[in-house]
Amino acid sequence: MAILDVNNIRKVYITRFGGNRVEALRDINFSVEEGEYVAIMGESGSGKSTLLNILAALDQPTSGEVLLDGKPMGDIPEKELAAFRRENLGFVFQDFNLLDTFSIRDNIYLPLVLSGHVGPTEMALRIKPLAQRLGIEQLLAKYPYEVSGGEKQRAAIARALITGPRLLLADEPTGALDSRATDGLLDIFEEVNRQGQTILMVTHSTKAASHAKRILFIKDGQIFHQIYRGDMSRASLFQQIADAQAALMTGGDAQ
Amino acid sequence: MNGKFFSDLALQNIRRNRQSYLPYALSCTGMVAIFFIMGVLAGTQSLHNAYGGRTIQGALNFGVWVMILFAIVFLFYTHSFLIKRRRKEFGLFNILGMEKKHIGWVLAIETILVGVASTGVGMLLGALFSRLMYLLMLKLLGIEQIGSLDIPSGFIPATIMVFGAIHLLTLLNTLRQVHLARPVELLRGESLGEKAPRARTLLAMVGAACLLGGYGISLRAQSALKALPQFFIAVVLVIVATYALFIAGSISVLRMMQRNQRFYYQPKHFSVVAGMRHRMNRNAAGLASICILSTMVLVMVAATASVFAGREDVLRERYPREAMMTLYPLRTDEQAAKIEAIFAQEVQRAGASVQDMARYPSVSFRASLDNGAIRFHEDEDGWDGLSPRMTVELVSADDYAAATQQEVSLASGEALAFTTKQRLPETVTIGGHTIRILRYLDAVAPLNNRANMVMEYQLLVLSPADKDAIVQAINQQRPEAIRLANPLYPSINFAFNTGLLAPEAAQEMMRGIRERSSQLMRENNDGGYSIISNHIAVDRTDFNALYGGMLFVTVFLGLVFIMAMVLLIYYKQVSEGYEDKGRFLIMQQVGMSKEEVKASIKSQVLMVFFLPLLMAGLHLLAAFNITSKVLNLMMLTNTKLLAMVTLAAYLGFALFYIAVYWKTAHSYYKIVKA
Repeated sequence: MAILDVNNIRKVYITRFGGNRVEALRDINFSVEEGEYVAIMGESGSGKSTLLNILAALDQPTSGEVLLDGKPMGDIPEKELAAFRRENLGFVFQDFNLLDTFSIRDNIYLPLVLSGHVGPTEMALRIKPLAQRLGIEQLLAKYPYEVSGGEKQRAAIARALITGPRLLLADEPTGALDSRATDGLLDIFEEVNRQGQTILMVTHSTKAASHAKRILFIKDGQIFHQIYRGDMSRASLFQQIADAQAALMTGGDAQ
Repeated sequence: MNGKFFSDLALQNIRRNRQSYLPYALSCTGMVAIFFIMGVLAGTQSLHNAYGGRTIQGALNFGVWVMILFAIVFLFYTHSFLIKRRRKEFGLFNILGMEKKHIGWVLAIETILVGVASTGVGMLLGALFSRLMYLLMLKLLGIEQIGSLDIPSGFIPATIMVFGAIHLLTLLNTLRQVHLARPVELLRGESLGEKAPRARTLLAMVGAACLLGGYGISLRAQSALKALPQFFIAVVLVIVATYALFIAGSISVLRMMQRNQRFYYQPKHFSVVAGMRHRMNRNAAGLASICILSTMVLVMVAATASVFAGREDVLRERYPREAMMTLYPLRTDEQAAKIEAIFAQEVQRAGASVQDMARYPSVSFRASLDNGAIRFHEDEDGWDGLSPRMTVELVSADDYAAATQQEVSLASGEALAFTTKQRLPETVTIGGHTIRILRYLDAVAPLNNRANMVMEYQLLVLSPADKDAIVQAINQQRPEAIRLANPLYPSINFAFNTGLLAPEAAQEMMRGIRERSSQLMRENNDGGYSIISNHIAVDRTDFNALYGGMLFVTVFLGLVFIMAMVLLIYYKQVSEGYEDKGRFLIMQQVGMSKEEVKASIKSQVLMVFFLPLLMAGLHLLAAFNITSKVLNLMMLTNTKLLAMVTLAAYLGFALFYIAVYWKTAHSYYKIVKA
């Protein structure tokens, strides 16, 4: 069954001066099945960040609807949105977005504490296997500015996963990492996905996308192309993605 | 062409950074203006010539120096803050191909522009407002108009030099910073030098100990004379304590909260506690400075305002009659009658008449209190250097009754006593006699000739027989040579009214009295003699000049301090705003609603800004006792007045603080929301 259904999303911005209308997204339709690992690719300005913000309920579409587990997100009252986000979605960002006022441990605890119904003992139980899996047990007492970028991103993943979200949303998660840390992160994503976590990742890195099971290409606010990995090897998937990107850039017709 | 380019760039920079430059320039202007006003009043010839004017100018001169010191430290500090925010900009210039030399030029031009504008406008405002202040001062001090205010020659160049030097200093410091840094470091700019918030338990404990010590000294202060040195010790302790507690104590408390997991891991406490720890880690020193500055302003203003407001009470207490005179030695009653005749003539010559004459003889000597025994000393001889020293004045019950017109009957061995300082034990021995003090008198007017001495002082009223016996016994104890050459004669004290109000006339009259009685005393005494004379009208002018001058200076300095504080708060808000902007976003993404984020940040900002105000209130409360004791030294004994003035000052200040907070919070929210 589809966890996420995106139906006919359209987003129009009206510029503040002059009232020009800018269409950031149009006719976006896709769905994500339980346990899937989907990458959305596109150049800067293609509308993929707008799309992610809408999926994260941080922004509303001009028309169309997003359904999570069959329930339209637009029906959730403003007051409950934060709680909804906390309980159903996990976020991983390009620049980690850890709060420098909290230690790594407290950063990871943040969504649990905010939910208000998980006690300290339960939180400690939950963080232990997670930190072990992500290799950050030794860093929990440190502060974000004391650890490396890769370690920050792993802490951010722990924060996203600790609530057991229905969907993990990642926005350019490898954007600020060196190649070694990037490999580490992509391995973690794959591992997490193998254990059943649904992931939706926005990226423009071919390498990152080549780890996903399905890749959607977005250009000028429209879904332009999609590739299923199937039983393709990583190398040939990489090649296909690169070809699609080239087609995207030269403006040729894919499909 | 190059010059034009640099000056254009400098102008642009100022315009672009106006959010931080404008407040800085404004406080420069304000400081110049206040410096100018104080300096003009301190140096003007017309005030110099007025009666008491020199006293005021002395106080103002002191204020001017304090002001210069403060301006140097403060402008230097705020300017470095200004530059810290701009490091990135310099790095960009550097990378775009401007040499550090060129950046230096641009900075120099910026400094000159801001310096010239603020000094010019400041002097203009100063010249304008000094006239107003001058008139206000004359009115407040009761000085007749004495010619218009002149700006002392050479003062304008002096102002330019002082502030020019300060600006030069800040420029040199900036150039040093730019020169030492590498471009990449400059580009990284503000985020440099972040440290993990570690608790410093030892420092926190030192702070707590200092606070207890400082408060303890203040609360336990008893004697007015000891209070003054103690006051400074207490001030130093409390300053140390404030810094230590803000820097380390706050972190320790927050860490304790974090250790208590049940408390910490609750939605309401979680982000507030962690956020506060972060904020205190960065802002503690600034907040402590704000706290100390506000406490100083409040104590100073409250103390001087209440002394000024209470000056007439002090005078009235000190002068139950308008004129007072004490002559020593009094050998015969005939002498006293002659002196009274001199009064009558001289007062008449001044166009007034002697009224309410009180006249009483007394014997006074220096003594020390040693285990319940009052011991006589010739000056310093025989004093062990430790036991409390005092002046003892003996008055017979008859003389007391005659002067105060109150019935007293004392049996042998009984006494009444009066002091403004510490009381004697109930039973004391003096000259071999044991006397019991029946009670302490609340007032002894008009026997006040010595009652307001700064020294420890005891007035004892004894039965006439006891008094004579004690004087004789003390005299017998003295070495024979001294006793014969200089027997322990009584003094004669006079207190009377004349109805004379003008200080000049009163002074003239008292001079006449003094000269003629001196002549009389000289004729009748081979040895030394002494005359002490005072008139309320003379002292009133001196009081007005001294306390009025002090009030003006404290209000000026208070204004400067408050201005400094406002600037500190503003910069704090701005830098917090930039930091919180990022945090605001992340918290929403992680699952806090906008309202929750707002509430959390608001409560943190509120706590951070009202902590200094609350702490200042606490300091003020603790300082009250010792302040009132110090003011006792200046004869102000009206504790209620001090309490009311202090409360009014604190409330007024709090209102102002809240207003500043609201105003600056506005710019904070503008940054956060952008």
